[in-house]
Amino acid sequence: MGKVNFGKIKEDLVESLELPKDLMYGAVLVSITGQQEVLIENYRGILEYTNNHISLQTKTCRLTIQGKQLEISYYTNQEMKITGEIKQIIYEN
Amino acid sequence: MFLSLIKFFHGFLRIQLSGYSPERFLNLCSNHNILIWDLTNHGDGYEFNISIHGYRQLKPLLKKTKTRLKIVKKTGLPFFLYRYRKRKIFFVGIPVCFMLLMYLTTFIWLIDINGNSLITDSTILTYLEEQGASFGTKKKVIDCEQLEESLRTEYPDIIWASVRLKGSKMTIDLQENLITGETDTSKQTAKPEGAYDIVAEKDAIISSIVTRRGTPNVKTKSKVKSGDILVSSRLDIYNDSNEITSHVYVTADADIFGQTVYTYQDAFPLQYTKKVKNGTQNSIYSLDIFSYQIRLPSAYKKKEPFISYTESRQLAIAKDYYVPVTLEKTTYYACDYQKVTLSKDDAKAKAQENISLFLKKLQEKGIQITDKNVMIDFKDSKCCINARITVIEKIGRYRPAEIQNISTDERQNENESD
Repeated sequence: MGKVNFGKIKEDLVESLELPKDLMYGAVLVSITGQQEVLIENYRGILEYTNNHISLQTKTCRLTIQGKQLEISYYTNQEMKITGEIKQIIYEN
Repeated sequence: MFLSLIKFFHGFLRIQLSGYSPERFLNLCSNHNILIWDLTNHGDGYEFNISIHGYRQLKPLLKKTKTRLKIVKKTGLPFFLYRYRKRKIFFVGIPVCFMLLMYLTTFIWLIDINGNSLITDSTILTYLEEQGASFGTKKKVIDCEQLEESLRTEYPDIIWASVRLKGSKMTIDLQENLITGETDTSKQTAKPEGAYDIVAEKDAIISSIVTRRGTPNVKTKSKVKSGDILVSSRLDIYNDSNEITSHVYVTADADIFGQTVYTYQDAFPLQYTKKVKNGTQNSIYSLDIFSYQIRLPSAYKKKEPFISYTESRQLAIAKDYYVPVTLEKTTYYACDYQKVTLSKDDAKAKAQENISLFLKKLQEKGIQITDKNVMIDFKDSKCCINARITVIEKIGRYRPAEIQNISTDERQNENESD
């Protein structure tokens, strides 16, 4: 037997037990309401914030939101709400 | 809405952030569980809102990230109180206001009366005033149970009463005796004490007589005149040989029905002028304060002919708490005169309507109609109605008896003559 692939085992386990993926992988949750509102959960921190784009660090990737007049309505450890005119949401690995 | 109210009570600051790495500062804030909201970017710096409690925790973070803060605006109750700290009367006024409110709630400010249909609200309100339980009475003084009892004794029509106090409102629930007809007849037949005859109320032919007490003077089918004694209160006592030995006076008691005749006469012209509204209307308002009337100015001038309706409404601070101010609204409808000529058929229909109204009134009094004879004539452009209505009705009425003290001599004479 070769090297045990723990990542593959975990993936299979999560799939078969139907566990919530955001908890198991620490994946980011993005809920978008229309073009005006984005609610982001499971993020690590803010990397950059200007009027036109917001970059966030999550566990697995970097998330960039581009738009106009972006505002952070509130943000806590768990979630943040961004309002403004949203144009793009980009995932960078 | 609710959240912003909490924020206002706790107070918050609008802060401008500038310096070396504001992003790091923001991440540190979230890691230290310091809530920041309405974050905006202004080119070189950031602006955000933070609570007073959060602001006090910021000092070590500022040192760490080498950023600077500038307070832009202070909002909320703590800052408001601090700004007006020298206005002592104002701060005294707040608790005084609450105390006054608490004190005023120990009085009755509203009386709600339910379930009364025969007795008016104002009658009960006046009675409550006499009993010392009207508007503005202290709640402690009012004894609900005693009030319920006195209401029942004062008004026999009330068969059940409930008085409740809740807040500054007194609720009175009543149940009236709705079968008033029965109470009325019981009043009529309430037998007076002592010696009473039953006499005829009007001329009639007796149709039936049932005597329970007393000596009947009439029989069925006998004619009587108004004032005739129908049942005498005098009871003669006979001995074995059918001689009157003595007599007693009692209260006569009998059901007597008699046939009486009502005449009905009515006349109305076939031609008459009528006011007809022509559509234009104007309203005039006026205020009655005590006995002074203040007319509110109006451009309308009265012009004959018109029909006017007046609506008046007494103003109230709360429901049922009236103040002596009445608002009156008078509406004038401009009219034209119109000549109306009734045809014979129309006149007959109108006459029939009038007479059936009259008959209905009789029947409501409990009078039984046995026969009617209606004549409708047309004379000199007038419609004349003559009717004879034969009815059967109760005709007895109580009258104090004339007590005759027959001396023993007279009685002896009577006996002899017998």
